[in-house]
Amino acid sequence: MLAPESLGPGRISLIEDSSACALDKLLHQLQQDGQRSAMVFACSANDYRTGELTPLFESLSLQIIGGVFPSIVCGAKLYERGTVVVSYREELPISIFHDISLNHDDGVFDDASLATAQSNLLVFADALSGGMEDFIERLYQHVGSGPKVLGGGAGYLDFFPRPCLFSNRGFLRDAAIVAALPASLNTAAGHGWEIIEGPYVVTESNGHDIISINYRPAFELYRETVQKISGRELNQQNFFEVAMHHPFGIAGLNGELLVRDPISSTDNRVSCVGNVPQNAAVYILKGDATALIEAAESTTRAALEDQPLPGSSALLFDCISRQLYLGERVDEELQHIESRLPQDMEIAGAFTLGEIANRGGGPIQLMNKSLVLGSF
Amino acid sequence: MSVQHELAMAIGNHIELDGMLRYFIKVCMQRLGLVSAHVYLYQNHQGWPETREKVAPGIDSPGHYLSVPMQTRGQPWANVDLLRHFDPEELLEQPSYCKRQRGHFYTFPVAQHGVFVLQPQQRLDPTIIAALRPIFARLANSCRACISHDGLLREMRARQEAERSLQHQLFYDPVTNLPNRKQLVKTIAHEKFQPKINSLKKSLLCIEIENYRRITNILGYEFGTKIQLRFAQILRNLTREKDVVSQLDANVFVVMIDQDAEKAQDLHELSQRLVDRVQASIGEPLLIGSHPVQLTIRSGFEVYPIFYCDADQVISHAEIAKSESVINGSKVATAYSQAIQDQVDNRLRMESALKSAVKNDELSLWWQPQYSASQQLVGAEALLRWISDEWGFVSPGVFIPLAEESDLIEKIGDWVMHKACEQLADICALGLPAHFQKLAINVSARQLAHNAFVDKLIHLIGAYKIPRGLLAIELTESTLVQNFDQTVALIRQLKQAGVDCSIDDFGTGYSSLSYLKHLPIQTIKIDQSFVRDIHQSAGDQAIAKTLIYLGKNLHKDIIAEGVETAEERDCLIEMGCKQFQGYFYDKPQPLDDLKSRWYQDGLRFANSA
Repeated sequence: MLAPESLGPGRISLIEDSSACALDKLLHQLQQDGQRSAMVFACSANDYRTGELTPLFESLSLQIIGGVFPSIVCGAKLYERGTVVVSYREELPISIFHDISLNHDDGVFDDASLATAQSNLLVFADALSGGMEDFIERLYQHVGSGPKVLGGGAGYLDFFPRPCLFSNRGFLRDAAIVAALPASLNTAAGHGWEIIEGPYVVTESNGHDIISINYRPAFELYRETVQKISGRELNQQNFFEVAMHHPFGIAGLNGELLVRDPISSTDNRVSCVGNVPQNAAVYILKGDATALIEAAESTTRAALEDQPLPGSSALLFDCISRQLYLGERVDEELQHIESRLPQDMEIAGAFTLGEIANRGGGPIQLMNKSLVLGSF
Repeated sequence: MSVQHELAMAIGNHIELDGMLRYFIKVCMQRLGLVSAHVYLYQNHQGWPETREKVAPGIDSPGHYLSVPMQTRGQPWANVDLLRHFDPEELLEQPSYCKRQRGHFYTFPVAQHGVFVLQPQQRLDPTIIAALRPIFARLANSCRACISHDGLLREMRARQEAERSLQHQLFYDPVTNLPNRKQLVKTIAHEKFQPKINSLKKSLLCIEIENYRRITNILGYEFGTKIQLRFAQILRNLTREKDVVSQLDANVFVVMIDQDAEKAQDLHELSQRLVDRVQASIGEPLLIGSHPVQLTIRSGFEVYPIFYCDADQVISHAEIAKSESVINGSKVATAYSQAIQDQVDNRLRMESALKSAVKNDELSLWWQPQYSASQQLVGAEALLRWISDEWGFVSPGVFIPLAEESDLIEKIGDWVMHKACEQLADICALGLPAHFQKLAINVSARQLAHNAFVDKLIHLIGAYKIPRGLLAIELTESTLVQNFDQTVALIRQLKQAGVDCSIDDFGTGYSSLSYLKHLPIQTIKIDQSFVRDIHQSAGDQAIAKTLIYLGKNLHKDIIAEGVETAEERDCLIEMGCKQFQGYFYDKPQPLDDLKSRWYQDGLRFANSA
């Protein structure tokens, strides 16, 4: 099944009521109104239960994809409770991949209509399953460089894995949902972080954990550097709070930095959101709110370079880490983004745990502390 | 430089070529901002990568080996011949560049192995290209090592597979894949060391497809394998998961039956039930291929203690019990017991003694005279007797079947022919009564089947100068119908040589009366079962009358066997029977005893010396 050449105007509905009943009511209303597919972005603070949502989703003929995120976006505003739904009159081809942390059988991609469809793709994945990055790599292996991809990681900020994805099969965990998007999709990604120290060589790592840098215990070197550049003490207890200002960046040949967000430290290791490959050259980055906001604006401009069709919507996947970093200025970021959008273009989305996109037709990547915007 | 370092460190991360290249490509994709990467390698005819110098002549260029991602715009990269855009001479010497519609493509030679093709998002700076050259040179070394390793691994795996296959063949039947005898012995022996709370005993049930060889002799070996497969499947379907099915021979299967602790069923009962179910499954002819085949089985079992058993002995006991089941009737599974073992031991001892008996002259040929209604001596039947040192007088009913099970029957048959000719020659020298027509010797089916039987007999007759027509053979009805056409041909041959044939035990076999018309036999002997108390049995009288009538009209002689009373004789005479044999007249006895009687009785011999 192919994605439609273009989708009709997306209808964006926001409910600030965080109850499952309110969501139930909205979705049934949309279904009654002739909507056939819906992207659902719900706040983690809604605290939905599997027992509440699964029967609801299974009962709907309205196609459901989406997930739970630390916060959501509607217009230029951020919400920490409530749900935003972007719905369409058309159905989208959807493939659901289960057990992504366990299932490395590439045969699952053969069943998906993705590869042959060659459509652009929207990806929701369980950020806390441990299998998200590997899934993304395998997805690229199968779909190739043709499709444009955007998406984000769903989950909870306490990093406790639990069901966080929505589909007509229920409330899922350790899964990924991939939907085909129309050919009119335009995407862009950016972050605004800059190099302040480095390069260093990751002399030992294991997946998300950096074990040693330049043959020194990772935490030891990182702490030394961060304390030097920030003047702030860094320890195990305040690690998240301090480290959010100084992510790692892995430089590519084209100068682009793939940001890796350090979130905790144990046993002199530093754990990040996303893999940090052994032998990679990494930099320690700095940012400031203004640079991040400017990056958001330039990313929005890039996403709109190809004139979007009238009535297009914008989907935003912004890193929760940026929200925490920007603090109150996050509204400013959203306003700057919205200001770049055509008047008739609405924006919806979420603050995510990891952002998914491919840049320049290259491989699909899991990004941290970045934002990805798509318009279609 | 950091990118160069990371790429260099990405080489040799896996010992297998595929894994090594994929990891290297992954790093290339990430650090070089690639859209795709492709590997083209020289490969041998089986598709395994090789160095350029080792590939067979005719393979001029490297072939597609790997692409990441696998496809582009819905088409596999493997189907896109990227190398055709490049100068083949340059490809293997230095990096090359080409811009196509799909984007920018760079090739890097991997010395002696092939070419890497990279598709970056943008054009590469010449310094980058220069920095990558030594990387791919180093990659070539790693490829060589991996290819070597992969080759060794393939050899090892092939050898392991061969060993596994050999090992499997040692322990599993090649047709049905059931465990064979070796494996069964191992299993039984191994069980001793497995703690079993629920069962202390098991039953080893042995089932033989009795008519397997007969079927395969006609329908061929291939058909036999189908029977084996089918029967194995029947057993698998009828047994529980914990019961082990094995195969000892093409037509011999074994089931190790475990006790059911919950149901506390007797192992004897379980064994018989399984046999009953097997019987039910083969009760109707099985359609194998396009042939309906009726299988018959016999079975026996041994209940044995799991912890105190000898595996070979258990199997042997089950097989012995199976062999003895013929006595019980094939539908009953015979349980092994000491009594059965004693029978078998006795039989083996007797067989051994019988072998010696032939050598040690313990056998003798007795004659039982045959008389006419007017009490004239018209002939005799030569009967084999064995007086054993160990067992004394052994009934022919015991030792003849024993001889027939082995090849002894042929040796004994030859001895009988010799002896009969010798004795006949002796009597001829003394003179025979004018009415004495023939001496008949019994011939078994196995003797008859022997190629040289007719020639041997004719030769002996000639050697002992036995007058034509004096020696005859007796065949049982069942021997005659076994290979009817062949038997008829043999009888005709013998008849031409002056040796007549009679059917012994007529009426007890399964032949059709129409056989009588076509058989070139001279005499029909009415079986003693019809003769016994014939004067009191209308049924027996009817049978005898019919045979006598047939004999008369087909010009065959009729002899009634087993006449023991005057009433029987009189009844037979009344029905028209003309020749008789039985205890009423004479019991079988040594020829010397008969000779002294005949001379004393004043019988006139035609050719007295």
